[in-house]
Amino acid sequence: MPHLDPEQLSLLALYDDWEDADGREHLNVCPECASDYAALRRTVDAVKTTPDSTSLSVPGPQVWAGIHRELGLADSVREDPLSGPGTKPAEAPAEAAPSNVAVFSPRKKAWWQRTGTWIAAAAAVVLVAGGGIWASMRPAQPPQPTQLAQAQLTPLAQYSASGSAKVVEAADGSRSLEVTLDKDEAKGYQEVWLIAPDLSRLVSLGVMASDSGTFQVPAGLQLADYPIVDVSDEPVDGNPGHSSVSIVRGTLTS
Amino acid sequence: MTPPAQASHGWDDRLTASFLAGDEKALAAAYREFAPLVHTLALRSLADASAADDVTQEVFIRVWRSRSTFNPDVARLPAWIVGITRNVITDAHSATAREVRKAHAVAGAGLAAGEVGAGSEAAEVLADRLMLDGELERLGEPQGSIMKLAFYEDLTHEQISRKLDLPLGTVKSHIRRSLTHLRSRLEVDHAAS
Repeated sequence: MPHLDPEQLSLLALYDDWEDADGREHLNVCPECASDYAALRRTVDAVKTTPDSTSLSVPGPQVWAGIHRELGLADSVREDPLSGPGTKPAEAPAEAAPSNVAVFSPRKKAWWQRTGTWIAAAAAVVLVAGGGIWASMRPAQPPQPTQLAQAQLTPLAQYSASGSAKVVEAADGSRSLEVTLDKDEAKGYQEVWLIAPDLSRLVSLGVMASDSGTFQVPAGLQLADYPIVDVSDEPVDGNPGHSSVSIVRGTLTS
Repeated sequence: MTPPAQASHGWDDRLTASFLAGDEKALAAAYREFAPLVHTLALRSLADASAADDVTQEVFIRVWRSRSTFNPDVARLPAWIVGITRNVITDAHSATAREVRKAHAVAGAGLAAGEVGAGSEAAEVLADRLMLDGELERLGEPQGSIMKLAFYEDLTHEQISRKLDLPLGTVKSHIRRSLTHLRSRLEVDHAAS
């Protein structure tokens, strides 16, 4: 049987009770149509059903406290917005603020920065990669005269580019990162980054418009702190952050 | 005709204006309204309660710091917050996070599926709903009316054809194209995350 007509598929997704035995039978045997149907069905569900929001999990008061502290918000919004049973008046009188101001802990470390998790992560790396990756993620060794470090760059999901990167030091002590790939696979544009081992921090070195480029490494940046070379695929969307889509990645070793 | 499904779960768009103007009370209101959804989406994806706390914190910090990039003509604030949530969750998943999850899987330390909570499915539907909020209005006419009749009054395509006095083929074609458009809105959201 040929694939379902797109209009037929839409009607099946839209109307649970639409009589079309042949069409529904086809969905049972054709993964392609079934996948389209599922996506349309999800769309219909999103519009039609009213989800039960009472079963959602509620973050504890420390979460708002962390936001409040990190953003340096005013005292008037210090109370956890989720703490009261009802809606807080827009203009709370000053005396309504809690008199004993809680001492807020510093913003919690991100979960991948906590020791316990990190040990688990390290354990996983060893388990998964048999120790090889972990060894290569050790901080780069002290500088040599010219070439300080190098990395093999290997593709991430959906990409096939590969290449290498090296950090060289000029006579004046300035350092640069030279990146060479075998092709430019970016759907948007390529941006080159140095990233901390735990991915918690990253430094953008610049845009790479072809399959190779040389980038100044900021003075004072410790390569050991940012050993991962990453080339990302960035959409032209005005967002200066990493798109989370990496084309290749590798770890600098001396 | 204002179908109940068009209501955006208590979010008043006037608060969006206050939010954009830098009113911290509007941020608190957004947190009260959407933090449980953000937290549940994160918990569902990461299966780790403290990771979900971190994601929730990061989402609202980003929401506040990048509010100047929000364009109310493109999306409503709830949809924008859902989009940021997906991005932050993805960030938490990136390489090292993947190792952490493997570690959890290996050590059996992650939350069991049941512990993630019954709210997790509801959270996905709610997130989808927020993404599509206002999209029926953006479809234009007669597509908007056709889809509202189909979605909220459960009229068949034949009934819609008679009610709006449009050829049946036209109604079917509008239904197909509108559903495809709505579907793409959800998939763009997921692809961006």
